[in-house]
Amino acid sequence: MIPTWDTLKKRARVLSDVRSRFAIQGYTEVQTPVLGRYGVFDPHLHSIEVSTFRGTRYLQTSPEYALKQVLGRAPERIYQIGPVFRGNDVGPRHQPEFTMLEWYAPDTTLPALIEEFIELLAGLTDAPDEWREGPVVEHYDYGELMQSLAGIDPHQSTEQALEAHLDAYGVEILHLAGPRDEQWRSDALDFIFSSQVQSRLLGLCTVSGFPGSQAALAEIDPTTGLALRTELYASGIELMNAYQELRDPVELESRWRKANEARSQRGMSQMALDAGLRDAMALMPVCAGAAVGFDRLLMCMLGLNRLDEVMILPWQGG
Amino acid sequence: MATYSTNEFKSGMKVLLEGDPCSIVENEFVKPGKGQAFNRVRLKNLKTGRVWERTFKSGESLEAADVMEHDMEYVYTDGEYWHFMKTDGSYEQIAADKSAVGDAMMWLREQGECTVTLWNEVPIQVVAPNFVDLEIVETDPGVRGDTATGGTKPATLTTGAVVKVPLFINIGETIRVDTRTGEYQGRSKS
Repeated sequence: MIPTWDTLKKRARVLSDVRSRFAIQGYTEVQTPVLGRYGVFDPHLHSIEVSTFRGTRYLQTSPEYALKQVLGRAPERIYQIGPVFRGNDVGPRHQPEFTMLEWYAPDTTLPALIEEFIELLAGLTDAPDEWREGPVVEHYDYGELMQSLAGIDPHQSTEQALEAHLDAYGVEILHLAGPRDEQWRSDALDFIFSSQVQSRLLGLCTVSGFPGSQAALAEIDPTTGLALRTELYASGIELMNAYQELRDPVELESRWRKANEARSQRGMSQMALDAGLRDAMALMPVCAGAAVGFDRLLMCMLGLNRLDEVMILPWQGG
Repeated sequence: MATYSTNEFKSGMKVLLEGDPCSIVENEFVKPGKGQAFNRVRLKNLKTGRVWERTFKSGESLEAADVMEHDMEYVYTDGEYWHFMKTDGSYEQIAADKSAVGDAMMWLREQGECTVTLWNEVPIQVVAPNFVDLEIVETDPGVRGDTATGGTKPATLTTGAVVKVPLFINIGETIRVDTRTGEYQGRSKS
C-alpha cells in the first residue's frame, strides 16, 4: 500500500520542519547503527535478530543505547530520526518497522524539554488548528488519574487488590497469567491504565509520576520512589515518552538483572548488557531525553486512525 | 489440527475455546508502552450464542475449529429431530436436535432453505433466511377501513410462530417476516 501523494508531501514537510526546528534549538543530527551488537533488555520489547558473518546482531528498537554513548563522549544536544524495529508488534497503531525521532538535551529539565516539543508541534506547517493556536495542554499525575478514572491506588494497592480489580473488570484477562512478581504488578497496572484511563484522555495532555517499576532508563526520584518519566498523549494515543535520564551504572546493572529475571520467568531469551552503555552512564551529562514515533505523530496530525495510512508498504495485519 | 496465532486472528475465524467452537467477532492488538502486549478479542460461542470478551497474550495460539456452514433444505420434523438435506447435489441428510435448531424452528418452512452450521459434522446451529414467506392460519377477522390507525393484532403462522400484523390482514394470506426481529414486513409478492 502507498499513501496518497498529499500524505507523502505532508510527511516530507513535517520531516523538514522538524529538522529545521531542531537546528534552530541547537541540536545536531547524528546517525547510529540500525543493526547493533546488543538488543534491548526490556522484557516488553523484542529486538529482531539478524545473523551476520560476525554472529548475531540486533535491529535496534530505539537508538537509545548508541545515543547515550555519544552523549558520554560529547555532552551536546543531539537527535536522530530514522528507522527502528520492534518484533511481534503489528496492529492499527503498531508496525514492526517505523520511524523514530529521539533526542537528548544536557542541562535541560524534563518539563522544559516537553515545553520545547509542544512549541515544535505548534510550529509545524501542517499542524491542526488546535495545535497551532498555542495548544492547551493538561498536565496530569498518573496516581491521581488511576484513582479518579479506574478507582485504584496504583502505588499502595496490594497484589490481591489488583487481582480483585482485574476480576471485576468484566473481561476475562488471560494475558496476565505470569508469576506475581514486580513485573506482573507493573503489567497489571499498565493494563488498567491502557483500558480504563488512556482512552479517556482528550486533546493534548501529559502524564507524569509513573511507578518506579515503569522507569525503564529514567531516573527514579529518591524521595517519592516514582519514575521521572513523562508521556505526552494526543487524544489518548501515546506520542512522546520523555525521561530525566538515568546516569548510574550500578542502578543500570540492577535493572538489567531484574529485566533478565522477568524474561527467564516468562520463557524469554536472556539479553547481554551493552558494555558501552554501562560505561557511558558515568560519563553522561545531567540530561533529559525523549522519543516520538514519527509515523504516529503524522497520523494524529492528519486526523487518521491507522499507521499504515501514512507509511509506504506497511506490514499487513491487526 | 491447525492452530491460529493471535496475530492471524480475524473476524469470522472459527477457533476452539474451552472445548467449544467459537467465531471471532473482533480482534484488537494492544501494546501499551510499558506493559505486556495483548490481544483483546470478542468471541461468539457458536453453541450457546453467547458473546464474550477475553485478552490473550500476543503470539498465543488457539486450535482451529472444524466448523462449516452449509446451505440446506428443511425437510420435516419428527418432533425430536429436525431433518435437513444438503443442496449441493449430494442429497445427504442430517438430523439436528432442538438445541441446535433453537429459535429457527419458528421460521422453518418445508422445502425452505436455511443455513446449518456443522461442527465436526454435527449440527450446532440452524439459521433461517433473513426473510421468510409464511401463511397465516389464525387471526381475528379483518377490519376494513381501519388501516389509518396503524393498529395491529396477533396472527399465528403455519409454523406456530405468532407475529403482529396490521388489522386488514386475513387468514389464508401469505406474509413476509424478518426472522431476525420477528416483525411483519408486508404481504408476499407472489
